[in-house]
Amino acid sequence: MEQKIMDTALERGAEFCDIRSQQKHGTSLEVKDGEIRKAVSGEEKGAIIRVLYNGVWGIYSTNRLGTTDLENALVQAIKLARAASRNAGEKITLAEVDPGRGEILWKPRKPPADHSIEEKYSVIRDMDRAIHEIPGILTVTTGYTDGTVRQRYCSSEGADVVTEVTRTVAQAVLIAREEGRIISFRTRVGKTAGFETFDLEDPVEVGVKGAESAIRILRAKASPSGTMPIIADPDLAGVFAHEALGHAAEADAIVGHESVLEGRLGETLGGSHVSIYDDPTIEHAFGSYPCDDEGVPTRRRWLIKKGMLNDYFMDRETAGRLGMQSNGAARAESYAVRPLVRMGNTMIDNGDHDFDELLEGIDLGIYARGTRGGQVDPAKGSFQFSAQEAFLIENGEITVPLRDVSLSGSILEVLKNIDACGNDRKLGSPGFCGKGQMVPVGDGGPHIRILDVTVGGGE
Amino acid sequence: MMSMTPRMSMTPKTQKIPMSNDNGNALLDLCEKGVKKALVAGAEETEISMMQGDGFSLSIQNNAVNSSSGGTGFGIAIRVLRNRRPGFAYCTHAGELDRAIEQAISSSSLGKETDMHFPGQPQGWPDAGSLFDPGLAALSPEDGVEMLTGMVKAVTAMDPDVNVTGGGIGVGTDRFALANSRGLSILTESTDISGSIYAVCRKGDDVSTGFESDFSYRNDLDLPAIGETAARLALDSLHGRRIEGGTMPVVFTPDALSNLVEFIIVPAFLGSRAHRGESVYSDRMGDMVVHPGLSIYDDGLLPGGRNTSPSDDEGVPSRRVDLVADGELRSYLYDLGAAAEYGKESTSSGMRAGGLASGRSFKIPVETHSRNFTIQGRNPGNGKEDVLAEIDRGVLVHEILGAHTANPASGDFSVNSSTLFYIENGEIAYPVKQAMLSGNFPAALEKMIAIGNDLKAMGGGLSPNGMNLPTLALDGIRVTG
Repeated sequence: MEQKIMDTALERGAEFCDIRSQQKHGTSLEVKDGEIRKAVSGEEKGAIIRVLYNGVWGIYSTNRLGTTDLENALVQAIKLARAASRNAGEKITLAEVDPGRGEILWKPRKPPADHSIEEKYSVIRDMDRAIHEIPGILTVTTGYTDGTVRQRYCSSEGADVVTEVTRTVAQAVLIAREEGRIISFRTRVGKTAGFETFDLEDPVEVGVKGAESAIRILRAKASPSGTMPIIADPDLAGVFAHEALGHAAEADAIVGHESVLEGRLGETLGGSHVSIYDDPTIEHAFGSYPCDDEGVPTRRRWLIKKGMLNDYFMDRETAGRLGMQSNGAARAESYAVRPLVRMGNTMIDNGDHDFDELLEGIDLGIYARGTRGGQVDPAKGSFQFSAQEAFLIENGEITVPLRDVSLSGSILEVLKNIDACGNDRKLGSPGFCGKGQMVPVGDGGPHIRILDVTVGGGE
Repeated sequence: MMSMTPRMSMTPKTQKIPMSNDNGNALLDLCEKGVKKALVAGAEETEISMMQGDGFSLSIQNNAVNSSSGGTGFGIAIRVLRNRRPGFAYCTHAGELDRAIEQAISSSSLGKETDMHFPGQPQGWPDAGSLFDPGLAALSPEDGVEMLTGMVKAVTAMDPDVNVTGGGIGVGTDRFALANSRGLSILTESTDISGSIYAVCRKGDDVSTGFESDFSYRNDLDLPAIGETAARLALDSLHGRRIEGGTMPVVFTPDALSNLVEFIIVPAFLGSRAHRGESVYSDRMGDMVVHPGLSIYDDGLLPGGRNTSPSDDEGVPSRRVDLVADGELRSYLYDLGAAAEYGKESTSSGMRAGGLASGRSFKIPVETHSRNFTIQGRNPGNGKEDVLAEIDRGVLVHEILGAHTANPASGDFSVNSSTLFYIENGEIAYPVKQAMLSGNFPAALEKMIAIGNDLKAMGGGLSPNGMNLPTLALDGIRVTG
């Protein structure tokens, strides 16, 4: 059926057509202070058709998958492309790929469907109980989510790839209160895996660590503001790589003249000790995926190699515009929306230093850990992200706990200012990246030291 | 209410099919049949809702349309009460309804007991104004391309160094049908169009950006004006200087204000949080919680509001709810479940939306969100210029990065802005390159300096909260240059 639709598209004058259809099922639970508040199980399916017509995309999605529905979707997609081609800019040409065929099924060792809802409830109920044991914890809201997506991608070039991916998450948002000070703290365990997620990382341990951090932060002093050196932990180093570099390296921003990294491939942006890569093939990492939403296989991409800007994130359209090859960065949140250029697992590579060596260089600075998230403006090259927790560094020693540390700056300046990288690289916490559509991502790195960072404190 | 079909960037995406009441009534019929089925299957009370949406969007890149997307979506959400416990399930085809009803009933065994009941049919539905424009429902992609071309022309005409790097329009038609076992039945049909533009100005080494967006239920958006506003902002922001930091007055434009309000202030009014001690406004009913010159209310009937509709997503008739009157805390926001838990009335705040997405979905159980959260001052006569006139030395902030990283429980925030201006002696003096703003936002609301009457209705950026906000000048915020 898909073949017939794609043939029709070409007959009607399209240069290219693809169809991506999905079946999803999943469960999510929300527990507040031990009691289930929400239990949702659902199934969903849908498809999206893209046609490239006169060098412009026409795209149409539907959650009805009968033959007539898909035929109608094609008609709509062509109509849209025709209309858009009246005022299109430069025609789109897609970078060539070898059409993929086959199946890549990432079957979990412990499929969530094999576990009862009571078992799923007990994972987060245990997390809830353990967190409540910590004095000072006021309320806890925990959530469990699992989802399995089976996707088929076909193209008029002969691609036909079936993939299956499962992700499982347990998270806790706790409120801690002490002497008039209050804090909300979120902690999460999530993997591209099934129930074995909880064998790989213990939600109770993660929850308790989070609660302990929250209490420490409550008792901490307000952070100083100003410009100073920072040591970022692997979690925060990861967010830094994602926000400060990753978004500006997404090729849609590059070809759209919305990134400070435009035209800088080959340029030295940082010291030779700085290398940053993105790898969607890391086993179980939250941002991993088997192949992208244009059927392009995934592989590690080196964005910064020994200080030099080496690559961008690209899909077929942006690669075509840049005269390069797609490196598998096309990802869509669901069947209902078109794929955009997105990241996977963005990692800073190891350097040579021990953590103590990083500390040695600092008379007055901040050791910042974990993240509350961040945001970036790639056109101007400005970014912001917040740490969960921090400590003052005085004369090479970690001293006073601090709270509400936010870091901001300019992408190009800050890459130059990473003056040392640790040798303890690891994956940070799982996250979700928004760009009009949410996709799961991972990031991480070793401890890194950055000079001259603008730090904003809370009150 | 705003579109529930998937969004791309700032624009909703729905399909275009001719609107006919037959389709709407057929949905309601199906809901009512579903109610009967659920009762037979063992539910004590039940509610069946259906959401259908169609539309298209056009995106711009490099001053031209580069893609056109459309879609159609349909879903059914089932809620049941059994042994006083709630259950929920969803599906996407009428043929799956029986199975989904069974799922909802079996999931009810896990739900926490509730005193909640579904509401009965009211005497009449309140007037939410015209939410459906046949002209907009019939808008074609060709029409849309023409409109966008006009917007881009208006931008590039202003200055050869200003380009449209992003944005576009989205047009949608939506139907929401709901029926429950207490005889309530409602069908709401709406159309909406949203337009946004992101402009970048490059002169030499200097880069600046401007952004503007707007939406309407009718086909009356002035896209060239939106384009010009964004371009003007980009041009005015060139050659930004660094400033010395300090605690100083900050004037927020409605858009900048909305980022902090949606993440810090609206959540602090959620009854489900406030009654659990999770909000800065917990245990403060009747206290002065903001400056006495401020009043705050939520109004599901706001003409042209983002989340305006005759009812909320549970069939509770929309109304205005006073949250703060002249600085004094009067109420929190509740959906039916939260209201039952805390012995209150629903404030018509139930929405099928949540998480970090701004659209509604049949897959999401009802949560409390703001319909059109409005902050208003006592003096109706103050325009934006009047607000600026009150400032000797401060900053005017147009855009904020990082509001979602704030601490919602305490209200502490630390964000970045690279579209802001220095104010001196009541006037804009020069653009500022970049600054961090930090402090405690609820505390800053106690230190209002001046408020405008230029209320702008808008949706949340990363939440479903609808807002209606003016230019607002606050003290007590630290600006780090």
